[in-house]
Amino acid sequence: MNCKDIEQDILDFIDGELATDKADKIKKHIGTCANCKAFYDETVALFGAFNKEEQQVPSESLREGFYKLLEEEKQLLNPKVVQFNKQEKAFPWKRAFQVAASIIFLFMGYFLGSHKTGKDANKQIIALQKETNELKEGMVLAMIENQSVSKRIQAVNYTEGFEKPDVKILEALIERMQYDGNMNVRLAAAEALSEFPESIMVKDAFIEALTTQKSPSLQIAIIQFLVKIQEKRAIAPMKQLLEHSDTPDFVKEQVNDGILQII
Amino acid sequence: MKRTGIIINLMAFLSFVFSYAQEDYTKNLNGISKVYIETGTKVKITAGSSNVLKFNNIGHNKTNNERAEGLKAVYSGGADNTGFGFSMSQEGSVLRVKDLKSWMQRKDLQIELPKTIDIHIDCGNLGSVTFEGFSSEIEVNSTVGNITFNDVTGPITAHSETGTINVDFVNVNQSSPITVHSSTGSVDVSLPSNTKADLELRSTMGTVYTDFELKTDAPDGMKVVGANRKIESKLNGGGVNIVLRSSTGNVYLRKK
Repeated sequence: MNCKDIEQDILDFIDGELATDKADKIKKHIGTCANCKAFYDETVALFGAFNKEEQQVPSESLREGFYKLLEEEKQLLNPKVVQFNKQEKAFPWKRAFQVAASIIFLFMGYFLGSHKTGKDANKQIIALQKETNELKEGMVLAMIENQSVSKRIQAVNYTEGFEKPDVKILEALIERMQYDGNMNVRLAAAEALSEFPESIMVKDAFIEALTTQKSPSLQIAIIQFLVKIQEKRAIAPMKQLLEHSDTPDFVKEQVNDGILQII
Repeated sequence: MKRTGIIINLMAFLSFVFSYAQEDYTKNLNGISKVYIETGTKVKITAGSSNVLKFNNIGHNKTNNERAEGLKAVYSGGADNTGFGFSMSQEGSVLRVKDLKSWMQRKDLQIELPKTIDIHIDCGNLGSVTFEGFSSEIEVNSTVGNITFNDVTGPITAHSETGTINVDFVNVNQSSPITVHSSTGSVDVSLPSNTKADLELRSTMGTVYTDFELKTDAPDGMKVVGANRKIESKLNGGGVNIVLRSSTGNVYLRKK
């Protein structure tokens, strides 16, 4: 056992925590080595001094002083704390709810109102449309026998917007197509009538017109309409047209073309 | 001496002819708003300033027949109440003027009418007509003759079976539709570039030509049925209906 080992184990030796054989060896060494004896004595003396020293306890006055100081500091900080509270209050939930509610009410009112007026307006528009249609029908009937050709054409053109024209209107148009003195009116009427291909009256009128009308332009317009609606009954009068010597060649061409398309 | 005699004779003859040729026929048109004319010859109708109907240079058409002295000409179409072979009758505000002579006897008829009076003319089988400077409604029907309008505003309704129709608009009256239609002839129309109109151009077997920028909004996938090719377009935002069509001829629309 050398002096270095002694140095390491000396604290455990003093506390008596070493195994007995190791403690005997250290005791023996200390008895022989003056250096180690001196180190041992010093260490024992140091620890003895530590144990002897009384624990320092802070005085009561210090504690009081500290709390006093704390209170003072708190007092000093207090107004600031109040200010913080105020800032937190700056978000006024109640008022926000009020504003939000009023905005919602406003919008609800607006939508409700607009919905209602929209409905009313729709009704009014429908009524107005009906009225204008009636007015237009009246105008058509009043103008369709006007002396002026241009006015008669205008009357015929008025029928363009009609979805389901009155029988009276159709009759007036058919009369124009068949018997109007002016070619252009007859043609305009034929065109106006071709907007109503569902009407049986119109179909019959076109088939009849095919045999009676002599003007090539009108014949072409009639053929085109009958081909468009695939009217099978038109084939016989169309073939008749082909046999007529006074039918112009370009009309015959249209007839041939048309017959092919119908079949 | 002999030469001067000839010259004098010639001058006398010329002045005689001239005086006949200068002869005009006029009729007051008070209370008349529309004139119906029926004639089978070539007619030129010009706008005048006074409210009268005037046949210019009708003199050479006057019955000038020695044998017919003391006799009256009668015609199949009606009674001549003008002395120039016309029958005139008034029905309400309409004056009907009927040319009783055939196109063989009547050449180059010149009629002057007020600028604003409505005119309807039937050109018979061979007649053709030219209009100059009217701002009234004009309706024309011809069979083979050409129809020409110069400096007019419409409304115009013109139809010819085989004739070419030329229209030169000075501006376009928006009151009622304009229709120009020839079955086998061409249709040639000039419009001022600022004309507002709903155009409808159609040529069944011919071609449509124009220098207007036409916006045609034919829906996609629309089937062309037969040869019914219609071009519809609004000019300057739309306006009065203008329909130009020909069955086998071309349609020309020009910008002025």
